[in-house]
Amino acid sequence: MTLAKYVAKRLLQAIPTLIGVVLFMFILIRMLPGDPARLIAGIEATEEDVERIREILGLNRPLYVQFIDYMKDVFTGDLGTSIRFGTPVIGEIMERLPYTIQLALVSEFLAVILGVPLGIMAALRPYSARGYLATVFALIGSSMPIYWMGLMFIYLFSVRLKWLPSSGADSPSSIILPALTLSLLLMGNLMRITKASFQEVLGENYITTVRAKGLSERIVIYRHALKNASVPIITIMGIQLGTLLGGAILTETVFAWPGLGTLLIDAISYRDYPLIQGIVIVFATMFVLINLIVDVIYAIIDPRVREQLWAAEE
Amino acid sequence: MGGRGVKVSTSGIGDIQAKIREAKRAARRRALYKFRANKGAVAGAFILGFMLVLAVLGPYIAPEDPYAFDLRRKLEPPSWDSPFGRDELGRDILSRIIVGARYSIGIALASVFLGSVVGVFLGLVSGYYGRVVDSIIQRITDVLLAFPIIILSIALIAVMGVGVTNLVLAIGISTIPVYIRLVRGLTLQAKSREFVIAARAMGKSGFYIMRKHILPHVLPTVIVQSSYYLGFTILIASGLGFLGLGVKPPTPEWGAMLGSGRTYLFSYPHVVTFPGIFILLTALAFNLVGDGLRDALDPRAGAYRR
Amino acid sequence: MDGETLLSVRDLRVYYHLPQGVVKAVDGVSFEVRRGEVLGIAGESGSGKSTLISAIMGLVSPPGRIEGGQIIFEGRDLTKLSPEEYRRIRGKDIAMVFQDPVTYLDPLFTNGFQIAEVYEAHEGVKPKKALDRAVQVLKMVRMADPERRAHSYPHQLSGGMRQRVLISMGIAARPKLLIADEPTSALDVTIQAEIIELLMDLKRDLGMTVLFVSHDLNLLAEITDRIMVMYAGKIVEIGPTREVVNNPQHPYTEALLGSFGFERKKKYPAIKGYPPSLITPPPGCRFHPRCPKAFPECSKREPHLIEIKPGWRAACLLHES
Ligand SMILES: Nc1ncnc2c1ncn2[C@@H]1O[C@H](COP(=O)(O)OP(=O)(O)O)[C@@H](O)[C@H]1O
Ligand code: SF4
Ligand SMILES: [Mg+2]
Repeated sequence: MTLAKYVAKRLLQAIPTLIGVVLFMFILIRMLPGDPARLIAGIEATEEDVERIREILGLNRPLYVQFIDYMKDVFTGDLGTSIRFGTPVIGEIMERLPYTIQLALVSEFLAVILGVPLGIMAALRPYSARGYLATVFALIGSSMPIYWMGLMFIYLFSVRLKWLPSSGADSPSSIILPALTLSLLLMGNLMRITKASFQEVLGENYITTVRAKGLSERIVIYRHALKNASVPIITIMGIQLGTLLGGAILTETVFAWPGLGTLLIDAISYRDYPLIQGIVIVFATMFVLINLIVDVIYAIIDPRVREQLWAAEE
Repeated sequence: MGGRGVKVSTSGIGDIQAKIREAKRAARRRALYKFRANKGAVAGAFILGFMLVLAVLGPYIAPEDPYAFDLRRKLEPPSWDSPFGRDELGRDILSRIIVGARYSIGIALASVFLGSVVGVFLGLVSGYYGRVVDSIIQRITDVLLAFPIIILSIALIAVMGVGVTNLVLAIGISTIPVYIRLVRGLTLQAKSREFVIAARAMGKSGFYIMRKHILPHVLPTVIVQSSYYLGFTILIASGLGFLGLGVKPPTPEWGAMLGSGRTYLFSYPHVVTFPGIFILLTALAFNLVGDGLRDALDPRAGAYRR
Repeated sequence: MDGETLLSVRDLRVYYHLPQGVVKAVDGVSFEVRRGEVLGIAGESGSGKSTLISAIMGLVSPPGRIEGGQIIFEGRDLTKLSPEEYRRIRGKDIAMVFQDPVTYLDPLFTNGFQIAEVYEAHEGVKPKKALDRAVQVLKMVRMADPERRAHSYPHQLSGGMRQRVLISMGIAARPKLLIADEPTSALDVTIQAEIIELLMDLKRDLGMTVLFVSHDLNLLAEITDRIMVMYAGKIVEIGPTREVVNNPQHPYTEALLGSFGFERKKKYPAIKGYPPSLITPPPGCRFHPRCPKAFPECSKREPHLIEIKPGWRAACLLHES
């Protein structure tokens, strides 16, 4: 009930930000030095070609009219026409988006199912070798140029061992290397935060209470400690979303994974500005929406947050 | 205090000021001691020092001209003559890495400097003055924060074009919003503290208070955030270089070396192995130093990453 | 049955191993708890009361360690039990009510669920299935509107109500021994009185034995049968409440009695000076730096518990000369 209301409210709040995003991209593209139509058309293009492009992009009308029109179009799902392909931008994006989402989800999943248990293990034996492992892993994970690691994986698993395909998305095993690469980027920090928050929670008085009631260590850890520690763990997952999406662009390029990232890099080399604009807007929208989902998850986990939010709504 | 303190002698005030100075010195000593006790941080500082030497002295210590190509020797694997091997144009990879240090590290330093100076300024102003100024700055921050940092940098580069200056601008701008958020929060905190209230009551100007009272309060957090950002922007800058969105060829920036060498990965892995190791080491060093600084300066400050 | 020994602690030592040194929080403590009695444990904060209790509950964890001694409960030495055997006693035979109602309740679970977990621990029923029993216990602790409170979260209750929830968890399994560690010191004075009355009524109705810890000797004087006074990890006096209160035999007990009394609400250190470091305690009698009756020998020789009358002992050199 109230949860639905809260989600609706957050969605409404996101709208000004998203309008800001579109405006930002709109202004950015108009800031291109020189005549955008000429730039887009290329140096060899005839004056007619340039005029045609100006027409297509509506560049001959006043700026604010252009923006309002663009805004209207964006909110009806029309992101313009790709210069390179001559097809609707939204179509190009929709074709590639599932690949990026798939890669992001599989990587996040891998990072969680490996990172969280390893972090818990490290927290339970903080001074053992595996206790330090989490710290070292996190440090290396957040210092690793992942495109380089991807290349090293290709060399090891594709070139030397010939176990896995090095690029593309042609077979089901194609996702293994890119997802592994991207997940290692996330895993280190996830482990570190899991370890730290578990250690902190295990020192809390309410954990002593659970033990004093005679409950087993299994329940102490997997019911009470895990639920309490999950708040910072989800926070770090939220903060890492940017890393995840940014990392996806790099990973896709390394493995020629046909997602939005490779499409964006192609679009840049072809100066396909409508396409660039569309892809960046879609990335930002995803980022805003997933952040919103993270906030909703807090509200579900923590009754105190829930109440504050409901109260703020009155 | 006021009524009875009329006869406070100047030497008394001098005493107090000396005591404050002594306390500050003691705090710095403590921070330095804590930093030195952290083995990782010391190791990081050593690696960093080494990289900085490369960055400064690069062209003087490089064994060969990093731009001189010799197609007869292209893709030669590592040997005594060229320890890291040669690239697709026969250039000495070791020399390119040594000279490239100034680009990779310089870009990170410059963009974090740019981002932190602008971000701290806007954060102070936004937090201190509040009202309309705050609203406007915060709405813009909201929008910028809606972009993951790499994507914002890519978008800016896409429009501005490649090159060292544009790279610094793009990455620098992308880091601004986080500084604004951090500093604004701390400024709001500081604003309600006695020393700021007292200074305002004494009629000090806003800029004076920001510089003298609030800036010192936010600085430790800003330093910690910056050291993390240095590690992060090295990765972003070289990532953009890898994507071909960084510096112009033939500049030997490490990421760009990776990007142009990747085609030869299958038969000549040495072309990409060594630049990657240097990127990793430098980012690692920044992060180790960052951890050490955080523990020494501001244990509660969590680094903010996007 | 009353009067027989329920719990017997013998020469118990519990140390915390810290980088700065070894904190001897409980250092050679022996006493008995008789079935049906209320035994009070008094002493300033830092004297080792909570550590003693966590040893009895089997909840000492690193850096703490039980270094020696025995804890004999109904004839079994608890220090020899396996973790699983101890778990079955904890919360069932020996249960606990903690000090601070704010931090000892898990904020993310409902009050009823947390009470019902006692039945999960000892009867294997799922907490969700035992919620109506939790409501029954809440009725026993005189919680107003128990149904609703069982379904609400700790932060939705007042301090007094939360303390009732903690007490519910303590009595849910009808323990033989209930240990209350400063159960009221975080509460308002008026609510304190209610909670203490409740605890004493529950003790009578359920036939429990109670170990009641407090730094407030005057409170203990009103509700306990016997009193044990601890200082710096050791027992300094133990005996029947009326005798100890009316005619304290240890200067520290005397000071504690004086320090509360009428000035209970004042927060300054009740006795001049502070409790000593438990890493390097003062030589001889540990109380001598603060003792108004100290004489030269006090810093040289360690006093032992000397019988004043049967069942009443004190550790002061004044009784050894
Ligand atoms: N978990 C712990 N780690 C280290 N030292 C502790 C710990 N718990 C208690 N101590 C030390 O043990 C001594 C006794 O503390 P405690 O048993 O809590 O006394 P009390 O309950 O009488 O206030 C104190 O000096 C305290 O600092
Ligand atoms: S032994 Fe001495 S110091 Fe200790 S309590 Fe007795 S008189 Fe005081
Ligand atoms: Mg205590």
